Amino acid sequence: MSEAVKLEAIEKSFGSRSALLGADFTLRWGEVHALLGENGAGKSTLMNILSGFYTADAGVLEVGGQGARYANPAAAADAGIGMIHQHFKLVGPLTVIENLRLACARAAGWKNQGAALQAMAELAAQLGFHLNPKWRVDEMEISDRQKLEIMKVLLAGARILIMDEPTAVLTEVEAKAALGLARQLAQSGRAVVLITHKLRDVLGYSDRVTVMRAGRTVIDAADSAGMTAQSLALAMVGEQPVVVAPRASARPQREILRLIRLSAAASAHGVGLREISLDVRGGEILGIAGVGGNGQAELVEALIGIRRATHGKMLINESLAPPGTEARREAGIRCIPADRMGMGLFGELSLGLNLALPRLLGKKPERRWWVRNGWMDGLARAAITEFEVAGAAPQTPARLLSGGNAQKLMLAREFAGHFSILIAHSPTRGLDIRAVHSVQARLRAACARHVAVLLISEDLDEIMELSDRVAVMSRGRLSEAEAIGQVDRGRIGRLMLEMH
Amino acid sequence: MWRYKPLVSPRLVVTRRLALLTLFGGIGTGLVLCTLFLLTQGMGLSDLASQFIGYTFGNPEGLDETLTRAISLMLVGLSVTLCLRVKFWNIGVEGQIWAGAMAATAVVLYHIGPAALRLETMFLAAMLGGGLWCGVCAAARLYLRANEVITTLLMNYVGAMLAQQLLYGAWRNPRDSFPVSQSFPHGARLALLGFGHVHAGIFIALGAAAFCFWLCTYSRVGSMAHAIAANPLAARAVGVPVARVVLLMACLGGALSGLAGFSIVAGEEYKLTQFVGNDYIFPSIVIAYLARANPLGVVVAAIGIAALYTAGDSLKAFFELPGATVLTIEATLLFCVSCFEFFLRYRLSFVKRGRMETP
Repeated sequence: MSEAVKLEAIEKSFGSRSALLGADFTLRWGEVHALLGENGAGKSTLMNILSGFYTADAGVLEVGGQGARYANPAAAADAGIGMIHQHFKLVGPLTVIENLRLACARAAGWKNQGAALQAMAELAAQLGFHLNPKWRVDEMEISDRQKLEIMKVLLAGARILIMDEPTAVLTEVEAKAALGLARQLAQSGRAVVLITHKLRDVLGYSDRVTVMRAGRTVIDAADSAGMTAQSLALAMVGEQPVVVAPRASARPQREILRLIRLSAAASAHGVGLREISLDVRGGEILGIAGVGGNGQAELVEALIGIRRATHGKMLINESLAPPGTEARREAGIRCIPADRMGMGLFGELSLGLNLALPRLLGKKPERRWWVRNGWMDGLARAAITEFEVAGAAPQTPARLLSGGNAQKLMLAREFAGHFSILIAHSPTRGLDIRAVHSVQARLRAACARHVAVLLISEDLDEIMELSDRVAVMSRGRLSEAEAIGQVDRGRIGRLMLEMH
Repeated sequence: MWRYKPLVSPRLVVTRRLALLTLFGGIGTGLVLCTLFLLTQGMGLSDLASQFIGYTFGNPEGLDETLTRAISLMLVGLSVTLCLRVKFWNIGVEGQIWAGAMAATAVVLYHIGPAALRLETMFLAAMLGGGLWCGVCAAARLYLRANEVITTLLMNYVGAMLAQQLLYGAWRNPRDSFPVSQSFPHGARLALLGFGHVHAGIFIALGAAAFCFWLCTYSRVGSMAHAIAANPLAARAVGVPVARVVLLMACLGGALSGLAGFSIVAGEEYKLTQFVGNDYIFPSIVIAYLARANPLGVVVAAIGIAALYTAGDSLKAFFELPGATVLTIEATLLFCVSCFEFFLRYRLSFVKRGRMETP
């Protein structure tokens, strides 16, 4: 097997922030090569350099044995390099075939719709995809969008495929199919890079693995067969991973949050809530499993008060929950939304203001007439220390934080002050192992302080590990909650699919 | 072939120094372009200096005109600024001026409130009128999803037409039948400060600027406004009363324009005329923009733009240049400043062509 790509001593910095400090990477034709690393280790930056989104400050880039340097993604695409981004680059309101023509008509040399349709049909047959060319992209399932994105890259003539965390947004079954597809593509002679931070993806589906840490390559193209989950995790975090404390077996107390046959309308592309009933006691974690997009987002919105219930009741401490977000927050609700930057934090604002904002709301704001920068900076410094937010100063805008650090900021904001209910929606999605552990430890700590925790997650492992009881959400309905000791994965899986 | 090629890359952080540099770079470039433009119109450099600097600031008459005009300009600039803080585009300061001026005039004509507090009543009435004029548009945006650029713009015409209706109808001067209201009695006039036409309204304008600075920088509402402008959904989710804050800022903004109307009728004209609310929309936006929506910057920008109008008047008189000259200069300045904002978002560097992957 000859070398498809060779990256040597690549350096890249953004302003004063160094993202890569001499990273190496080699890729052979016909292999699936896993690229593993924590958030902010530099995986995406390195691959963005290969695919022409960034240019390296220093280092050698060889593709097919020849020196190369791409000024833009189009130049890299012409050289046969295609990237399948975590956030798909598709045009929502257009159809499948329109997206393909838009992206690849030039590279594939299609003159008309017929040629495009034929090429698409041929490739779909090869890969075993069933996509209707007339579907609108914004109405398609996530996994189908990913398939379209893969076809787009292949039809544009890519021989080197970079998949950026392809399994992050998929369900168990879909993830297996996607990883199998990566293998299939490699067997056809292409080279596939799998950016991931799931150890399972590496051990089960890759030929070789490269591990990055803090901008450097720490394991350079080792055979995956020789690696264990333990050795990879160690290389990734650089020290013995933090071990989550075993579940505190504090006896759950009285019911703090209770929903009685609550219904609410659907969001633009979502599912409405249909007579949801649940109760969460202080000191317990109620896990809500289910495939994303089955009403979870609507449930969170209804709970914090930005989606009006059309039916049913919500009780906090056995009295009717007040309407409106501000009042509910005062009543003790805190929320970690799934979309951190969209619904949680203020990217353009400083860490200080992000943290101070909720303290200025409600009937008893901490500062009434004079909100000083010094006070906000103090809050930020305290949070940076207590929650170990790396690479941040009080005045840093929140958008500069990496995923894990942004989530720490989110936690610092939501854990401030007294609260009795915590809603955590996919709180560890997209985080690296260490950040995952620290978030999970925080959830348990809240639980130990008799907070009622509602954990909504698509990650079944996480639900099984953390929850005391579990319920399943499907098409806007919620199953009866069952104690974690009495359910098995098979039953939960059936509930996810069958209950309508 | 050039040996170097330009490379544009997005900036992650904007320092205060850079923000100031781009602002003054924009203003400076704009002034150079304007100077070139005026030179082509047959003016000499020495004429320019004497008109723009000597007359507007050095001559008591010119300074008087500049400061008097700056009072209403400051208020409308602050009005647009407050609204901008919650991303509410207030294109309707003229309508709000009309509303404020009419409300103040109504207080005089119908003897509303105690005679001893006539000016104070006018002050409040003008704020109420302007605030309502803008608040209606904010409510329409929040509850009917009507775009405020359209509604505030159209409310200008409603205000102007209503004033015409009154001036040609119920409020027409009974003595000579001219379409102006009766002159205000002395108790309904703002005191002169003994420097030409400069009146006590300047304290209102400066006080308003100080208040707005506190509101935007140190108040709770200012922090909430920041959050709403940065991410409305997250603001709602964390409990910021978004609708209330937007309504409050828009109403306060409208009230400031209403005060501008009050300062014109009670400080300059002493009556409601047909020309009270004309030609304020464009300068109000230019001022807010030049000040980068900073209330203290508005004071400086308003004086600068007022000086431009003063100079423009004398250009009209002595050099027979058309009134559009001032508008051209304002537009050039605005254009240059907004172009220079490119450098706030992007870094422009020059890299050597053909440099390969060696360090």
